[in-house]
Amino acid sequence: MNFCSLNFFIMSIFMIGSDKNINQILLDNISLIFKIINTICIKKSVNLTEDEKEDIFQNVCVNLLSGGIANFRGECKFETYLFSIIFNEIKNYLRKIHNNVSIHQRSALYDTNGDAEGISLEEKLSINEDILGDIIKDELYRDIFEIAASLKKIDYLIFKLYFIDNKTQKEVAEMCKRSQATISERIVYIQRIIRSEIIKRYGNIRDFM
Amino acid sequence: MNMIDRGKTSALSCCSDELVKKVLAVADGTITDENIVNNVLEHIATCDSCLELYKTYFEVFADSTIADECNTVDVEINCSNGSLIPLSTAFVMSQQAAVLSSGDNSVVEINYPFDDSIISIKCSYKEDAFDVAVYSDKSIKVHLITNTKHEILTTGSLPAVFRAIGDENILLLFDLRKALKIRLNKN
Repeated sequence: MNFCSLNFFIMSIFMIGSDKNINQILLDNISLIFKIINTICIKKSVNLTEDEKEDIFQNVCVNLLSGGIANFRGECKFETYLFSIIFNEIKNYLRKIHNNVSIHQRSALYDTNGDAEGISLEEKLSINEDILGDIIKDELYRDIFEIAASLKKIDYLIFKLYFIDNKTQKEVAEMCKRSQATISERIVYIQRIIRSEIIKRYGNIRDFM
Repeated sequence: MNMIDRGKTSALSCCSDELVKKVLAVADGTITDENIVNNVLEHIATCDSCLELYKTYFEVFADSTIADECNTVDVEINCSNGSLIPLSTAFVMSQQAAVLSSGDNSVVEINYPFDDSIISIKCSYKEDAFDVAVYSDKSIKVHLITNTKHEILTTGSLPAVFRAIGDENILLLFDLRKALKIRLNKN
């Protein structure tokens, strides 16, 4: 038995949180690894070549075979754990290979472009752009974010997901572990608070609604 | 790769490993305790890296159209009275791999494209067990993973030959970059 086999055998013995051994887990999930890599790349607009994806696949396999699977303690689903390892590998890869560009930065860039074609933040908050006069958009956005940040943290999260990331109410409800009706109420509340606060700060803005 | 990072989740974010694990467990519904869920949600409201991880989880798993494209190929081979019969799936019949059977049906050859070349995998059956030989004109480290063993051999002037494989699923990883799953059935 070579070192690798011995290491694998020892890890198999100490495997916790699953009835399957490491070999079976890898056999069952090998296709999922590449699917998750592809899906993260698609969802986050990370343009990697097939070779680069294979590099990440290789790193993930090395990670799993050299302790990654054995370190799984069942604190979440195995596919979630796998996702976290892959997410980490892609982040590290982008950091090393693509001049320190993070998934977050790429995502933010994508979201900004997306907003340009979709409904603007002002529209979503029912603040009519035409009557903002000389207010610089950057200033307005800074104020909106400042007001949103002063809300309860859970409302601030809903603000980020619904108003900034353009998630649907259903998606926000799922992510915030609340009913859609509750999220709908909170959205109306957040909208009202931000709008009234903006109107207070910029007295010259008339309320069109 | 940094050994310290392996199996740890803290590298995903600037936050503690324990907290990141909770973020993941709340995302997939493993943690349902209301207090912990609310604490995690309050945390991600103000932590960009944990929020990004949390959002990405939902984007990946909530979407039923999760990308189907993958670098693994599944092949099934039946052994009946000592003769091997490849059961080609639609995926195997695609351009990614072609399965050819030899004249006497005792060997099944799979031609698998890898890194601008073709790897030839020959499956044979003798003495109540399967042998799998991997041929390549390049030096490739081949991992064989079954339910009970993990062997690593390298191709070169000689093929990498894995012997005495039972009636089971096997996984071949080529330089850990591409994968081929073979279901070996003995009737």
